[in-house]
Amino acid sequence: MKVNIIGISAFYHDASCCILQEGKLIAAAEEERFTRIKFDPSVPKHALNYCLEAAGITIKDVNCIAFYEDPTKKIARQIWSGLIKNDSTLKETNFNKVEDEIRNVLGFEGDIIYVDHHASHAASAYYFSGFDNAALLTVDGVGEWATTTYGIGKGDHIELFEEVHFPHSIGLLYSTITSYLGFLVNNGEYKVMGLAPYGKPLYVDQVRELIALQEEGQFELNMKYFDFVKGTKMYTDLLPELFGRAPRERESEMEQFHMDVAKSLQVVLEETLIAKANYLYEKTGAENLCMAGGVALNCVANGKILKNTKFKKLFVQPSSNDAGGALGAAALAYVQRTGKRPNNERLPHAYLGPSFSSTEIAQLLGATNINYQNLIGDEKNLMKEIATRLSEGKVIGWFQGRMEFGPRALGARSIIADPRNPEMKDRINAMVKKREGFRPFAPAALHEKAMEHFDIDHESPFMLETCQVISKLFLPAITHVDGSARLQTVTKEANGRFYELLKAFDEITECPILLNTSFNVRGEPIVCTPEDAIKCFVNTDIDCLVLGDFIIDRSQNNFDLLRLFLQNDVNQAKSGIEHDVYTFI
Amino acid sequence: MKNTTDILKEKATALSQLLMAKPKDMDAINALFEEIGVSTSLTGKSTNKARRNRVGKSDSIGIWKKKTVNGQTVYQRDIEKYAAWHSWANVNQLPEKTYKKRILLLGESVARGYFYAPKYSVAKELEGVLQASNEFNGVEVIDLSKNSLLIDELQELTQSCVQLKPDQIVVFAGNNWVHKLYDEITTDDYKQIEEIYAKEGYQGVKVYTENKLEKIVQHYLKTLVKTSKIYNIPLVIIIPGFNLLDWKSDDVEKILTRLQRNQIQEWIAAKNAADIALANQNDEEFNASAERMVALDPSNPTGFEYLAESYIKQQQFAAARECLDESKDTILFGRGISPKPRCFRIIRDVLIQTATQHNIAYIDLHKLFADTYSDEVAGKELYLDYCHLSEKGIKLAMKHTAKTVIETLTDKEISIENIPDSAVKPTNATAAVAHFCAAIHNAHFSQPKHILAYHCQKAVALYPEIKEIMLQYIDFTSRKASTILCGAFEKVIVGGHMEQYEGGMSLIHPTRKKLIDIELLDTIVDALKSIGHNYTDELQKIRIAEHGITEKPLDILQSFYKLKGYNSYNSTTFRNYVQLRNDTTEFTIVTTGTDNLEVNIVYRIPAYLKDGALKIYINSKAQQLPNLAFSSTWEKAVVEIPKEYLQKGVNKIMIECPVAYDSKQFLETANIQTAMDSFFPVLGEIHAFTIRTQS
Ligand SMILES: [Fe+2]
Repeated sequence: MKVNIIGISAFYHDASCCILQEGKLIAAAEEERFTRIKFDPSVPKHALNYCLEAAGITIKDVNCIAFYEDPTKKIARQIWSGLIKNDSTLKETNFNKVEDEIRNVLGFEGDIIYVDHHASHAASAYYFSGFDNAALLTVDGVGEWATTTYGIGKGDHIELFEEVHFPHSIGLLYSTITSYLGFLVNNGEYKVMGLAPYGKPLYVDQVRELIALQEEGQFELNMKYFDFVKGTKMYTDLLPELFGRAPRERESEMEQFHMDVAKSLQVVLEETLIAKANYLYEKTGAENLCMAGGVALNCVANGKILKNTKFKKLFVQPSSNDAGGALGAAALAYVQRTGKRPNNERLPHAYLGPSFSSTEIAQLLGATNINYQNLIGDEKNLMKEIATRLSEGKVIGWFQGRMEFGPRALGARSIIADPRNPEMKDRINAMVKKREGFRPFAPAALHEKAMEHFDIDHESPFMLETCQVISKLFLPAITHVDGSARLQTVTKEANGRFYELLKAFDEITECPILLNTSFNVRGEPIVCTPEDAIKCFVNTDIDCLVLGDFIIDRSQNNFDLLRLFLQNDVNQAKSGIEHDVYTFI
Repeated sequence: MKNTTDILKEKATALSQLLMAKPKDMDAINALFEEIGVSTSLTGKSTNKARRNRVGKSDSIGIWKKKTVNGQTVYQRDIEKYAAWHSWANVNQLPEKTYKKRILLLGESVARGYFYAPKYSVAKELEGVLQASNEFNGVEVIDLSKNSLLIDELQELTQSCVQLKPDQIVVFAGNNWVHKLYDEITTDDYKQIEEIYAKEGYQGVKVYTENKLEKIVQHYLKTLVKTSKIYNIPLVIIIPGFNLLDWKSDDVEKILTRLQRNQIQEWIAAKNAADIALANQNDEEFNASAERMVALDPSNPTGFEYLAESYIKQQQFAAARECLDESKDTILFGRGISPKPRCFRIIRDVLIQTATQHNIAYIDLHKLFADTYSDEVAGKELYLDYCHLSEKGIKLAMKHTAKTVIETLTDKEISIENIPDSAVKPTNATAAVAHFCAAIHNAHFSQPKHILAYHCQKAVALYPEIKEIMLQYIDFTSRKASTILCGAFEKVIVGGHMEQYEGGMSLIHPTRKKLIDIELLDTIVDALKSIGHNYTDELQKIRIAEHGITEKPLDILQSFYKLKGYNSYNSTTFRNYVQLRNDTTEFTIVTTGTDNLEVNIVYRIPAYLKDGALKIYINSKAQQLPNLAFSSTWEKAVVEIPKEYLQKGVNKIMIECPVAYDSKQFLETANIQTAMDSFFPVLGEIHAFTIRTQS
């Protein structure tokens, strides 16, 4: 009998589920992809069903479920913050929601193992890094009490030796400024990161006033500026006073001031992380660094850490957010059960979600009125057809193989286009993303040719680092204002189809690079099924959709009616969480 | 030494452990909270704001907004409410009052003429009769009815509609009022219900809920009467009726009940006896068994339906109506998550009582139809489903309404024979589509095949061209793809043929709830045969292509195979496994019939069912598979279905649960859900259920 361990993250943000079979990561997916509710925090029953199916097992075969945090500790912190009050609702409130839902909603009868939030983050990085000795750094908003932890992974085991406690939190500092800059908390942080290169660090002194570095791994926030403890808003009136400007209204015009604040924040974030990483190096002496937690998604900072500390190698968990916590929880449960580490290799790819056969796609298309081209068994031609369209400036919805786990689209559920086209950024923003124009898109490049175009000396399969663009080609759609790009390198082993497409595009254009952004419209989760892809395609102005072996050209179809139906469909997706404050469920 | 923060953290941890304990020690919790010093004073989240904004004088009436056009005050459709337009009459502008007598019709879908609107409607019919009567120098009926109108919306509409300066308000509503009751039920109610149940059984529970419902209705009627008096506008109330004979309770509404002292077994024995008696035409035994069922479980509609059938056999129609009226009201017990609209007896009584007290004219359709069809129990002739009227029903109801309107406005009596017929009438195409929509709606709420057949036959007889729509319907329904993406669905909508079904959008199924309408599609094919077309093979082919079992395991817990209709057990917990609450549950599979099949199932049986087993039958009780032995934890079983049990096309898998339990063992009133689950116990659970052809 194989050891089957399910990892779960839920009830806060980005619920997800994964399965480790004999320590091997078989499948993982976010619940939002199935329910079509962005950031759906509910117990991941659809994702669990998918994981069971992918592993070919049933609930009876699951040895244990590992949950990514400790509810008792979390409730204690919420009591301490005053979020749980002694009022009339208390008696009726169910504080055992985690266990109750795992039992009643998922129907699981076996052992439930609770892993601390930051231990889950740390394990999600270490056990999938391929290192057998590494320093561990986790940084996020908050878990139970901890907001930052320091640790070491050696062989089969990890040990966290120091933590920084709530309310002192780098993640919450970042989220607070995000809110001040008029973006949604828990959602707009990466936009602030994208805004920073446009600004000058004119407000670093003000940002430094917000956070004070202390001995060892510790730091403190200057709490007179922050109001998130009570859970109603992020900052006090003193914060706008400190910056000398009222907060930016959501969706209002972006001014130089806002960019300068973003830049200043980025600078202070980097110096803080570098200082603490240096401390961690001194303390552990390890050459490898593993990072996870929401702040580790700041790929600009990650690159700086590697450059400015003595660490030689860095592994960042591609799903560093709480969804990835499921992976770490499962890994630690596996260690606890078997005494062995679950994985010896570095995570080779993030294609851990559902896939759909050509038969299934053909059956779906056969039910519709859509005109399409069937290229089953003719991959070469398929690649040529798509590469040609790309070279003609077409924007393609690219749906192939298993869905990505984690927040980034990596060529399985992607929108792709020619990065050399100066109008491409605005075009895609207008036709699908409807997002702030200042953010560039990311490039995906053939691994073996990446170094000719980007200043990078290693693989970057997860798009978690930025590097300078050094290409002779003009790549306006993917180059940031400071000359950097957030690169994904693609190998044949990790994603054969995407690799072949890049090659085909290179053959036609001598450009082994494509613009790659996630296949979704603003406010919706990334598409999961062929039906989701068709709906998203119909609702946008993307030129062409590739579903496995099938090509659907917009020019060959009239989608007016279908678009109208979809707009009138009562089963529309909604966002699963509140964004005005950092929610402490 | 510990600092104060650490001490505080430790206390918070201790408190969190107390909060997570079951049951909670509230004294200890209060004490610790006091020590920590976190009080309720921090609470300040206010939800009143949104509510307050809604009150206050409005310049809107439903979807229409006040505007001044050429110096005239009119009400035009508000583009901001576009999404709701199709729920209301298809009228862009409500004009200023003229010399014409102005009658407003307020009400729910039944008052719109659901399945006919916008092509033909109750308001048009009423206006037609009034115009033909020549009693007025001019008369107009303004249609203010809305699909799914709730009682709070009706209250708002009652207040805002006076802006139209009506001479008369006709209110035709009451079917949707129970929703407010469901919304208002609390855990405390359930605790009381539990006590009442222990003392008085389900009769007591019924009275308790009826009293709550009565208060809701009276609250609205107060507004209605007050509005009428203040503005001096006479009222006419139409009390909706119910399709007593031909709207049957579905499997969800018939979920087995927890009964005191193991009477559930007795109830099942009585039901089995009744089934046998019916088959053997033993009327006396049938009647006695039905009476026994009602006596044992008045919360379950099955007994009433059986007993009514017995009365009909004896030509005791009044008694039969009485029984079916009771049966209709059993949804007060709340088994189903989507109870179909109906006017409960308590609502009818309160309406009659209030009308009498305030001298308001009313038409009670329940009584009117019973009087008109005294030698039978009226059903499908008058109703297209549970409460929506057929053309015949609309015409009959509106004739009597017109009589009442004329009498109240002219102050003279007029006999019903002197009320003329209206000149309006749906076209054959409209009527045929209405019947086809009715067939679909009946099918989606699990009505018996003979009713589906009745409506399909009517549709093809009235308008043979409906064949094309029916064929498209067969196509998109049989597909695995979501209906909204289906080409055949697109064709139906483009043709505008199904506009009468809420703009056609009602054909779109809820997420992950697509039905494959086995009986309906078979019935359509039969109806088409009657006009000379045979599509039996085509239907078979598409079913096997889309849903046929192959060597790849097929998940039988998908809606296609698991659901017969949209109703489901009223639970707030949405599990990733299936709970069985009926003694027998049916699943549907499609096969070529040429292979043995392999069933993989993961199941468990609640501990209170001791050592009962799950029985599996294929197509009939004569074809039984090995039992699934008792296990109160998940158990895996692999069972073979021999191909001899199967036929080409549709096959049924029936799972029979054990029902022998001691009702005292599993009472829980911690919250509404556990209380509900105590009343309607689980009899079996399935976590995985796949079938493939045997290699
Ligand atoms: Fe986290």
